Amino acid sequence: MSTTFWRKDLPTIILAFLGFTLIAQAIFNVKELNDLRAWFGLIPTVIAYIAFGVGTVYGVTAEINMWKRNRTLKQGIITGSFFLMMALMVVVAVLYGGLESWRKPEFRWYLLNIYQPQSQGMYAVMFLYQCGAVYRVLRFRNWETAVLIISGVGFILSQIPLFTAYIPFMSAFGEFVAKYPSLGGTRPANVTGAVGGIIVALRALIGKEQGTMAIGGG
Amino acid sequence: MGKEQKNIWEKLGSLDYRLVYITFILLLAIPVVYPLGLPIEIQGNVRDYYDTIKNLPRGSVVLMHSFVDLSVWADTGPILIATWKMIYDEVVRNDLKIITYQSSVDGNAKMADLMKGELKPSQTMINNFGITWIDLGYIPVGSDATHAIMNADFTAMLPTIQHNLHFGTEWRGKPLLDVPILKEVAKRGGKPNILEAHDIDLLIIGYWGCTYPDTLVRQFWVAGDPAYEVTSVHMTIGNCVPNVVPYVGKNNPVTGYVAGSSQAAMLEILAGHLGEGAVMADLANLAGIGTVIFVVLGNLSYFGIKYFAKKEED
Repeated sequence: MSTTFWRKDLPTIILAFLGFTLIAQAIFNVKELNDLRAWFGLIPTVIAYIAFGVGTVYGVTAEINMWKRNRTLKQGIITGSFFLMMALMVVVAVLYGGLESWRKPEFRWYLLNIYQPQSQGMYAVMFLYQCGAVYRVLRFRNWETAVLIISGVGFILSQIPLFTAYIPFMSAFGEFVAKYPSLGGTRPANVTGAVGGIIVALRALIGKEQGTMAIGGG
Repeated sequence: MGKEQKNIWEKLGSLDYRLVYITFILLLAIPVVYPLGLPIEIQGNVRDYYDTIKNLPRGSVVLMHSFVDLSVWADTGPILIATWKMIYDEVVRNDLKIITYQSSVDGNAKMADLMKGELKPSQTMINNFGITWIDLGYIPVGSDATHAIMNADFTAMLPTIQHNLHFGTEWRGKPLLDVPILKEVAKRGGKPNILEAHDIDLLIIGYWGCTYPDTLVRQFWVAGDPAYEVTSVHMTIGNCVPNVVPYVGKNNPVTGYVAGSSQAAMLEILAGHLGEGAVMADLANLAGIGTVIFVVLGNLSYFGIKYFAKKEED
């Protein structure tokens, strides 16, 4: 068998078989097709877990190789941190991997005292970046940015109690921006994305969309 | 080579980003240290949210999503707390039946915590757990597929009660339809003795993934045979308002929404349970003022460079 068969033809045949069977199931209400569909549901899960396992093995070997090539303090800290995290994950999985383990007080302590402040901190940092971006980006450079500023700042102000208390019009303006220009922009974008997705999927099923299968790409 | 001297307009437009961050941090710190109590005008969408719950017919069944995501808790927590306090009042006043659940592990842990403290139910409520209200616990819903399964038959998604509260533990692990309130609700519209979306009068749900309103409308309003047409009110963040607003209206799938902690303050005022929302509203006010100031500075710089700096050179 040639390499092309294993790398291109066989995956395309499997993909086309699964894909067209699922499409057929949606059109024809046949018991056998329904059963096949349920069975097919397992395949992506199995592939995902295999990919996860392969990724983990790849990560471990990559870190070991990095350490072999570059035995410096900095690399030692990076590789050491990686293996420390892996070891911690194994310990957590062994101690708290059970179905009911999230009820344990240690898990709840971690969730409310470490995870919550850390994740809220990340959210707050994201907010700060947005504030910095607002200052640098929202300038009346041309008509497009002018529309963005008027609608964007108008919408922001419509969500702030002080402005809606003293300028009641802000509230109605914010609702107008959300209801019409925003919707008018997002819905066509969604439709375009969906149509594009269908075309790419059909091309993948008949073996034309090589990028999807990562075949021959560079 | 010497560094080229910047004029005032250029300096104004290229402020050190650390200065921007420090200004915002200082602005946000003020209400935490010293609550300002800046004026609040109740917005229409919050009033509609409140009215929808308040005007439910006596004995209505409410499916209440205890929306917790710890990463946005500061912004959404006050909405959930104000809504729950309102629900407690309405269970007593209007004989509402409440079925609640969480869709995240964070939610299960946090709700258990809240029910011991800030949202501690009255002894009567605790005694009526399983009769007038029930917490199902964690249900892994959030996508179209999972909602479709749950809406057709709750037991397909969650065969047994999985709540994590310190009371009502006798129901934990029991089949859903063993619980009196669920047995009673399952007898309502749609298929008899199957707990499904047809049995629900109002959905109170939260999210900060902004495409979720589309999923909710598809699965709670459009889907079903006949269509479920379950009205909903939403708890969300300011960013998601453009996604929910198209569905809002008196006879529409969504009849009201509360977006962010500053609007939670409005709900607190309406419901008569003041809480953290008021402080958060001050934070939003000052953050808004800061945003406006920096947008103005940025544009002053832009127009200054464009019109005045040229004249100075000439």
